[in-house]
Amino acid sequence: MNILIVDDEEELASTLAERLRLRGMKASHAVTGEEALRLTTEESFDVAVLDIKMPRIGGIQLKQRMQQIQPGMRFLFLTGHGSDRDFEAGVTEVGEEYYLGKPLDIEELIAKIHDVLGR
Amino acid sequence: MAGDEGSSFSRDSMRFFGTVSASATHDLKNVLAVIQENAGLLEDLCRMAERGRPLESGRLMRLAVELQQQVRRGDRIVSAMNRFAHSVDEEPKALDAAGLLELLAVLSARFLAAKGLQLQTTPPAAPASLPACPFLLIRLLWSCLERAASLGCPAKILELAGESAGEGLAFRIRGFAPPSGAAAVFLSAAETRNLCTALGAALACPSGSGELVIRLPAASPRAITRDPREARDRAGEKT
Repeated sequence: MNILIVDDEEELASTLAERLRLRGMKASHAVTGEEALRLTTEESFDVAVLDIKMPRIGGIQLKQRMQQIQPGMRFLFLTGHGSDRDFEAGVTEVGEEYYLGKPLDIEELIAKIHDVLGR
Repeated sequence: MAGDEGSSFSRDSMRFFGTVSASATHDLKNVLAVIQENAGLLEDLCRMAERGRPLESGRLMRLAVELQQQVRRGDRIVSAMNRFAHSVDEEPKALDAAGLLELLAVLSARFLAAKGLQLQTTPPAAPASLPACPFLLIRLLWSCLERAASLGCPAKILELAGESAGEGLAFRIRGFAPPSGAAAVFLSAAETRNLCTALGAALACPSGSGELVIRLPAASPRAITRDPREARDRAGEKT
């Protein structure tokens, strides 16, 4: 299972990826949408975990562009708030079950990863 | 100030307070998330040590340093938010330009980062202050930064510098691409015009300078009032 974490908070993205690796998964991280798109052209990922609010390319837009490169990839979204407009727009598009609020619970993230792969 | 204009000014104030609060709390969520993951990683490493994997002291030290940095970052955000919250209820007072720049740098960091920009501030060479309503002055500088950011910043860095200007203060914004008639572009927003009136501020974009200059006069009645309607009335009395 190969996971890509994308968040402009580098410490958050890198630590999450490290914690997933400690649990036996393959995991990488990116801190910009551009970097995530580059990695997506180089490597096959099962699930991408995307922060909703990032400079230049937000999570929802990034999902659409990554899907064009790897149509089979699944997505989860991170959000700092459950009430902002980006969150509401995202829920409308992909459904609330694909969201995780910050701060994260790693076990909840892993459960969501398995869940989204099983759908 | 007519009733409609006054209520519009109040709505703009509420909207601005909401924008700044949302940005700061979003930033705090990120701080908490990083602390949570670092603490979680610490727990993971301890559990693995219990199963025989050696603990690497250098890794633990880096985690401790990161946790301390995040606590300091969170403290800066909370302190700035506290100062900003009190700017609404404080009586007009002598505002220290350096402290104001520091406050704006913290409050606007997330907002500008979302646009791929950074703010660099330069305090006055010598301590400089001006009696003014802090909330209105923060709003005016923010509105100018917001408009400057929308005009495009080739180097992705906006500069905000403060300086003494006679007995008053001046702030300079650089790093954006000024269009022709740039001052008029900044003043095209009713909110910015109202704030300039309330503070007795003047905006100028000297030809070829590539900067916006916000000049605030020495303690005129308009510069210290908290109520834009009062400012307008006082201005009327003088003319």
